[in-house]
Amino acid sequence: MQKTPNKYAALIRTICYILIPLAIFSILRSIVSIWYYEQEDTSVKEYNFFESKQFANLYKESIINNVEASYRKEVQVEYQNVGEVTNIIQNNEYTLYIPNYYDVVESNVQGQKIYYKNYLQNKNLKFLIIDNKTKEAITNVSQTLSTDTTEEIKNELNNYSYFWSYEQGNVNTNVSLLSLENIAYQSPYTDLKQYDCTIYTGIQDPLPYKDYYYNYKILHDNVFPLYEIAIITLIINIILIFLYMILITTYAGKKRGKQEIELDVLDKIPYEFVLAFLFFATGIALVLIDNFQGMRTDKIDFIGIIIIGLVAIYYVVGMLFYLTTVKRIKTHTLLKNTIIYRIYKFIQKGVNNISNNISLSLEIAIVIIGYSLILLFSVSLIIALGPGMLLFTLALWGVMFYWAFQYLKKIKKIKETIKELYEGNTQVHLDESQYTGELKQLCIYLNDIAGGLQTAINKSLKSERMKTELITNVSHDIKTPLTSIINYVDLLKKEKMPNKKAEEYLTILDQKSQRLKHLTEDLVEASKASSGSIKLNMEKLDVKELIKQVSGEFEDKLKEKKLDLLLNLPEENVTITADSRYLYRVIENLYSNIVKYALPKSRVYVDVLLEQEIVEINVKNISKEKLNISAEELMERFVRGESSRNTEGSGLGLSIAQSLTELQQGTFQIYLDGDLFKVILKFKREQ
Amino acid sequence: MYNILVCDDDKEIVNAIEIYLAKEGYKIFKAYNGKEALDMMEKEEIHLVILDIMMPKMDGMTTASKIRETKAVPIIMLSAKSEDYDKVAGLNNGADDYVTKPFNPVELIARVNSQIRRYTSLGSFQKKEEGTIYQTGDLIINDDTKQVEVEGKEIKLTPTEYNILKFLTKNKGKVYSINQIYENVWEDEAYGADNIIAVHIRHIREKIEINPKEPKYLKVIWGIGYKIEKIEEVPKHAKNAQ
Repeated sequence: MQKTPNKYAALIRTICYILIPLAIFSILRSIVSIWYYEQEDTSVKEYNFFESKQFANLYKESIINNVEASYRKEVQVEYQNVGEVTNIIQNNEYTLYIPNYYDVVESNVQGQKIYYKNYLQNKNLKFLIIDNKTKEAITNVSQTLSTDTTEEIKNELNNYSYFWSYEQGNVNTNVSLLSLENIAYQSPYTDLKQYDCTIYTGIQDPLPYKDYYYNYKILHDNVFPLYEIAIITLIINIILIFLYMILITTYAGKKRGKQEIELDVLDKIPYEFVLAFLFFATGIALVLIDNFQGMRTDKIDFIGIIIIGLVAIYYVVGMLFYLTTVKRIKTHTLLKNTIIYRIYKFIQKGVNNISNNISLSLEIAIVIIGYSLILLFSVSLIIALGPGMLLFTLALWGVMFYWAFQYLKKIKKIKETIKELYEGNTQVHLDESQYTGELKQLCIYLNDIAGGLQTAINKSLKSERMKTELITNVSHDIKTPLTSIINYVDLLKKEKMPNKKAEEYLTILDQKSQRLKHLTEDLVEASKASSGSIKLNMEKLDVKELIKQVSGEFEDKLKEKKLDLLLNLPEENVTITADSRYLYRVIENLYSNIVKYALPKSRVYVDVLLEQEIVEINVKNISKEKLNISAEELMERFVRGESSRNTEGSGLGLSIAQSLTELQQGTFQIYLDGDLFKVILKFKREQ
Repeated sequence: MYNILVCDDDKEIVNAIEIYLAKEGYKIFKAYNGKEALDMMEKEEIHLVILDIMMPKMDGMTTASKIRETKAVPIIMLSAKSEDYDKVAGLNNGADDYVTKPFNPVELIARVNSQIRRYTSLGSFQKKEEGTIYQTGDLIINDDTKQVEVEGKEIKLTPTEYNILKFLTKNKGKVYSINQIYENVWEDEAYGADNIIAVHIRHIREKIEINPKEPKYLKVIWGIGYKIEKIEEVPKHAKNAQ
């Protein structure tokens, strides 16, 4: 992570805003360049405008336009039948047409009339049209304002940089594409045959006026030399635009020092309004650009500035639209911040409010009626509007089935949760907000049951812990007077007793005080083991080693009772994971039990059995006393075989052993069969 | 004659301890709370303190730390609290030993004797005996004379017991399983060695340890093996004694 996130976000965005129009401009230029070159004769390698097809076309169009504009067919109106039908007959002859707003200048030589036409479009083209019949002439060469002859104009035009003339079927030109021989290109000559006139035209290089010729020349000079790198610049700029867009998308809405995306006023307006505004702006821009394009050419600079301004404004609008869209997508508000979504939510809330407060039977009734109405509606739609409505009906049915499926899924989820709770997981919880009506009630009750169970379990754990604490504290208080009792009994033993009876009593005192000592110690251990408040230190250990060690510890005690210990251990190592000290306590308790309760002079079996994943420790012995209780009762704290009450144990040994075994993830089972007492310990085997 | 301060709020316990220790030839000073104990420490020259933990006015833990601020005498904690963390807390507060109530008088006397020996004599280190010596703490084995000494007392061991103890002391700090001990001591492959070694170990423990169930030197790691604890340093305060 950066130290100040998005430190340069605003800078990067600004740079992109500036670079994007440049890239767009470059792309347009490249496209125009390619398009322009494709139009030209590929043999023309010279970058001269006046040799290009573009120029030739323009020149040809200008000549034809000028001649066409100068001639009219005379209209004769014949009234065939006075009254109803009027027949208009056009004369087939073209005659020179001189509108009265022309500046007319009469030549003094040969009485020839020359009309001056102040031609606004394509001023660079100078022409002289002479009608062969009337010898009248039209020109836009300004010299005719003084008293010049057509001969002089002719000569001047023929001295222009480029000229084209048509006289008695002959074409005289220095523009090769427009020569009579260049049939492929069609000389304007073919179009002029029907007019009986002589034409002289010429164009000066450099062009003195700003008109279409001028614009095209600038375009040509700018664009034509670019052709060779046009494709490369096109590709590079397209890639650049993608790059800029990615950068803008990444950094949209980021502010210096902040991780989150900031939404401003524009981002909070419903998206429909934003879309509407964009369409409106697009429409206006298109209409305006279209209008300006058709305007007068002598104001071409002004129009250019206006078009550029419009494009710039539209670019800003487009960018704002793009940014707000990106920000909305990033903050997941694109769909939410729409009027349609708000209406949908409003309706949904209303429906939820209703469905939350009605019973399941009413809900089912409404659903059935609703579905029937939809069925009727869809059938009548097909009948009324034809089979085209079938698709709509199918979509409607799809939505209905989806709803039904969702409802069943919710019921299934509730069922699964109940099952989980039944199996003992009290941590289950259903999200009530996803359910409605009766199902919601069901969820609330279910969550309450789960919560209640969890509380009960916590309470019982807590009370168990408190019990342990109480027992520990009480045992501390018992231990202090007990210390005195044991010590003074010990001291008394060293004194001379007055008689045999006193000595007997003292022995009983000694035994019972020692038993009380064991009882208090076992009591603390038992309560700690059963409440689980023991910190285990689990490690890998060898069961064989442990059995041998404990057997060694008890060797003398077993011999004292004349018990024959038979160990049956496997060859291989038997590794399990347990707490070394507490597993010893378990085995020690079992051995102590044997020493206390096994029939003297009998055999004791300790077997370690291996299964695939389980290690089993079996301890078997023959009980000294009759076992007149069940295995379960034997496990209960403080319970022992009835007649063994007088022995020195506390009766907690097996209970402690069981609790400690279970704490170490093992199982502890007792089997009683006649006088056979058998304990089976099972642990997970480590490989 | 060594002076021992016994401090417990239960007068009968103090009296009983006095009877036991007086028989051993110690002079006893009595105190019934931490404050009295500290006063007594000022007035008399005390060689060992037996201190109860739960007492009125000032408890044993605080008293032990206060004594430790000025004195290096051995302190034996005496308490009904038998949890592991109680013992650790006691030892951390400056106690040298920890005995739980109800205590075995014989064990308490043995511990008192041991601490007094360590504190007063400058330790067995002084007796630079000749020959091959293996040692950990106050357990010393002289392999030339085959003598074993624990806290100044000579211990009688059988040849097998001696060999096992010598092997473990030679490799103090390391844990050996029954089979490893068998293979190293008997220099034979171990099979069917069952629990002979374990029996020997218990016998050794009964001979060298004050309380074989809570051994100081020969430790049992259940399910893994046995080891002789590596005790290197003599406690700091023993050096400053007298």
